[in-house]
This record gives sequence, C-alpha cells and structure tokens, in this order.
Amino acid sequence: MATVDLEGLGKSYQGGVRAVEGVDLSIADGEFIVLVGPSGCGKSTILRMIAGLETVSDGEVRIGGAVVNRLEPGERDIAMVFQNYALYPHMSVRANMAYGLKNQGTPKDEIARRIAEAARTLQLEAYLDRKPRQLSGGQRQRVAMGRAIVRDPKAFLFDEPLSNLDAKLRSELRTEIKSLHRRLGATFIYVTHDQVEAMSLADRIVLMNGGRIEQIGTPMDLYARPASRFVAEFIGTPPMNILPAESPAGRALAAGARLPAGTEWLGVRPEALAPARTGGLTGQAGLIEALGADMLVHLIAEGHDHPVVLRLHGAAEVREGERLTVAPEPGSLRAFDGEGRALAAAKTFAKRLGAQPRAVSCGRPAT
Amino acid sequence: MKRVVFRSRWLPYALLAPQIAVTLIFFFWPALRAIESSFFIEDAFGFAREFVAFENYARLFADAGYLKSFRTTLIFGVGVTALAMSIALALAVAANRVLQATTLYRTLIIWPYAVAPALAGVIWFFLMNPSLGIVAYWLDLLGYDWNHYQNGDQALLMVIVAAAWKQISYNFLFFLAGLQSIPKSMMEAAAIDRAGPWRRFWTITFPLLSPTTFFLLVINFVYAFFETFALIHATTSGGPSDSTSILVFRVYQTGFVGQDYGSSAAQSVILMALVIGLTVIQFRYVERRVNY
Repeated sequence: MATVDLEGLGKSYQGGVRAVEGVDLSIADGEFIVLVGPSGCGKSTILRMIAGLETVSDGEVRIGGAVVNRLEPGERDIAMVFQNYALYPHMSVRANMAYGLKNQGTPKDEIARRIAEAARTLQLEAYLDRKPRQLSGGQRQRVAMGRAIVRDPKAFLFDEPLSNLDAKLRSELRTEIKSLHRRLGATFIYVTHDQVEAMSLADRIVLMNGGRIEQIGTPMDLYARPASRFVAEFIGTPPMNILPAESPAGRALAAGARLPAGTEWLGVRPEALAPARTGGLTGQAGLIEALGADMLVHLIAEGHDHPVVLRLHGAAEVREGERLTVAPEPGSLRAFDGEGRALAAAKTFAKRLGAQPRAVSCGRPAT
Repeated sequence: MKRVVFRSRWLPYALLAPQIAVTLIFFFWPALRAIESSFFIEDAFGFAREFVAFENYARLFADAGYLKSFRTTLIFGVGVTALAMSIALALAVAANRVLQATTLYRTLIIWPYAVAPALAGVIWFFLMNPSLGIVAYWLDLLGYDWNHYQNGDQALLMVIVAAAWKQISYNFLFFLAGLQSIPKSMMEAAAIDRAGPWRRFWTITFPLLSPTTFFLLVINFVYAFFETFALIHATTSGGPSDSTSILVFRVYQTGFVGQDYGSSAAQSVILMALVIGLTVIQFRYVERRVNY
C-alpha cells in the first residue's frame, strides 16, 4: 500500500499528438480514485503510465514517494486488471494466480497460502484447476482480480474491468470491487468511461477531458457543484439541463434570481425542478419515461429547442400534453460563463419561488 | 458453418466434379498404379512383368543403401525443420517488436519463397562452390576446408541450409501471424507480473504459439521429405556417394536412372505411407491437443 503522486504528467506521441497534459494528482494511501471521461480523454494513458506500460513524456510518477518513471512495470510493485482480463489461456486458474509470485521467487507454501486466501475471498475455490476458457466472463474477471490480490501490491490499477460484462454482472462485480477495497484498504486506481461506475465506486473522481483534468472531487462534489458545463453534462443520467441565460426559457427559469456577472448558461438538475404554482418555466409535457421509482418528463418549454427534463416521483400524475410550470429548488441553479466554467457566486443567488415540498430528495446520484 | 441449399439435386455434384476428377485422375490413379507396380518386377523396356508379391519391399529393407537413405532423410528432415523454424521464429519475434516496419520486412522476407527449389539449390551451390563460392572462400579464410564434392557431411549440410533457407519465409509468415494473434495485454500482464522478456517468451509466447509450431512442424517435415527433390537434383544429385540421397531422390534414381520400376514403385508406396502418417498426426493433434 502506498500513495501515488502524479506531477505535471504529460504524454505526447510521435507527430506531436498530446494525449495527456499537465496532470497533477495526489492519491492518498488506501484511496479509491476513479479516472472517468469520454473515450480518448487520456484516462487509460495515465493509468498505463502509472503501470509503466507507456513511457512518460513529461512530469513524474511517484509511487510511495519514489519516482518510478524509469522503472520496468515489474519493478513498480503494482497490479493491474485489464478490460479483456488478459488471463494466460494455457494456464489453470491456480497457475495464473501463481505466475507473478513464482517470478518473484515466493516460496511454494506461501504461494499456496495466498492463492487459497484469494480464492476464498473471490469464491473461486471450485475453479482453481480450470482453464480460463472454461469460466464465464464474470469468473474470469474475478480470477484477474485474484491474480492482483495475491501479489499484495502497493497499488491496484483497473482498466475498464467491467466493460465486457453484461449489465447485471457489472453491478454485481461493482459491489464486489467496492467491498474488496474496503477489506484490503489498498490504493485503487480505476479507469472507466461509465459515470455510474465512477459515482458508485470512487472516494474521489478525476474527470478527464481532452487530456486534461476537468475536475477532481468526491462524487457528490462533482454532481452538486460541477466546475464546468462539461462536468455538469457528463455526470448524471439524464444530464443537467443547460439553457442559455438570455433566452426566454432561461429568463423564466431564473425569474427573480440575481445572476452573477458574465452568466451565459444556466444549469439545473432534472430532480431539482419541481412543479410550482407561480413563476418559473412553463411548458408542455412531451415524452414521459416511467422508470418505476421515478419518472422523467421531457418538458417542451416555449422559446427553447431542447426539452427540459424533470425527474418526478414515480407516482406523480402527469399526462402527455399537460401544461406544467416548474421552478428550481433553492440553491440548485448553476451559472456558467461563455467558456462553460462555473461561476463562483452561482450557489448563493437562487431564491425560493414558492416551490412545493417534494417527496423526492434532491441531489441523488443518477441510476 | 454456412449451409447452402441448392434447388437442383445434381448441381452440387456438378460443381464438385472438376475437383474430384482432377484428384482421381492425377492423384488416386497414379497412387493405385504405384501400389500395383510395387508387386511386380518389370523388364527395362516394359514388355513383360512378373508378379512377385512383396519381394520388392523385402529387397528394399535388406538393402543397406536404402536403410542409409532413411537415415539421411531423417537427418535432412530434422535439420531442415529445426533450422528453418528456429530462424523463422527469431525473425518473427524481431519483426513483431517493430510493428511499423512489419509490412516492408514481411514483403522482403517472403521473396525466397518465390524462388524455385532448383534455383534456390543452385544459388547455394554457387555460394558454397569450393573454387568460386564466396562462402567457401570465407570458410577458407577461417581455415576451414570446404569441399562438398568430396565431403559427404558437408554436402548434406549444404543442402540442409539451402532447403531451410527457402522454407524460412513461409514459416516466418505463420509465426508472425501467430504472434500477432496473442493479445498485447497478455504480455503486459506478464510484464507487470515481473516476468522478464526471456521468461515472457518461454512461459507465455511460446506455449501460445504451439498450434502454429505444431502445424509448421508437420508442414516442414513434409517439405523436407518430398518437395526437395529438385534442389537435390540440381545441386548434389544425391552425391557424393549417396550422402545426400534422400528417399524421394532415390525413387527417381531407381526408377528413371536404374529403370527398376518395381522397386521404385515400392519406395514411393513407402513414402506415401509416411505422408499419410504425418497427415493423420497433423489432423488428430492440431485439432485436439493444441487448443488451450
């Protein structure tokens, strides 16, 4: 177990393509960090630089305080779980787990002890003598995790480990990874493009965009106080509603509120909009998605092209074509400038517009 | 497997007919004739023949020259296969490391395969010629006396090198394809698991290449046993004193030079049995044993 520090980390490829630029990140011992972002944002490149699978172009990678830029992957004492599992197909599950330990000359009985322990943790005891091809996708990924655990490394790296699994298994293994982290208390660095995974797993999320860090923070930080429009629209399903501040719809939404200087865009989470008697945004209910626990209503507002999405309680009675007036809950309106940066004063200005109290709690992470 | 449904019943047979006809006329018919001839002793002009049952075979196995030829063939086959495969594997591993240059490298290295066996033999024949060959000259500088006209071992070595040289490109292509089908992440996982390059090769790459290796092993043996006739014919003609006379060359020697058709037919039947044996091994094991 150890801290991992990135300082001014950059990666450029031949031809001057810069995949990662100026990444500063301090990961505490035992922290669960998730790097998330759209494909091509550089998150995997960062992970591979930490692992030593890619050379570092600029800056430093430190593991446990020591600079590892020039060390081979095997000398960094990290373990990695790959998207395609990367199990050795000609070896049994047991041999797969033993491989790394054998290479570092661990005594036989110690290897056996550690494998038995990992197999118990991951419920793989019945499969130790099977070959990877005789296992299901979920079991294979467990073996890959077992291979990492037995090594007892300074840090665990995960490169989109759940992307090849179906939705049900994905949520199952997500829980397993989370409880594994609890049990081991080790440093986990996890890359994914799935914001749900990021939200549910991370102690802190690092949101990447175009090779740079867009925002670092706890899942709730990113959800409730996005540093930019990009973060606001990336985190949350459905994403935050964004409206031009100067449009009729924008003005209706912000009615009575004092906007910070330079506000060009307004943002509001779907669940922060509630039916109101007076003021606020008026429109016609379009498409309605009933999801059980809650309901998404696409509100066609006058003077705004995109529907504004509201999340109401599953039992709310709304019919298509119905006219609705909605207002943001106090403190829920976000203001962004022309470049998409969040404006500092944004959280203080909204004032109560007579919104009705609702059964749905605000600020709940997306499903 | 894709299933095709034909409307007419005879169409599939008609489409297969040319291929079946070629196989029957050019492969099965001669093979049957060879088996038939091997039971007869025929006079040199083909006017008369006498049924002798297995006498041709019995004589062969009593003939020290024929048994020696078996040994020569075995040395030749093992030598060619080992040399061609190990060099090809080394080249493929090297090429696989520099993926950008692979296309050019692959194009260049495939050229020897396009060279006719006889020509390949002659190229090496000239290179090694004791009086004007450059390799022989270098060997002479090193103080080694090269003369494959007199030294049987040297002659055998020369045809092994020539035959292997021609087969390297073929092996290379298959090895490279095999290497590229090994996921990169597996090698990365091994690197993280503290396996150095050498250990990675022997514990991961080599076992994963086993289907390719086994396939090539059979192919190379078949090549060395049966397709090197022209090479031997153009260079050493089996000499000196039968030291490079492999089985397939001996078939020609006995039949066309010695005019002993019965014995020649018996020899080719034995070769045929060998091919069938190798093919059976290939089908049985390539299909089963090598899937991991």
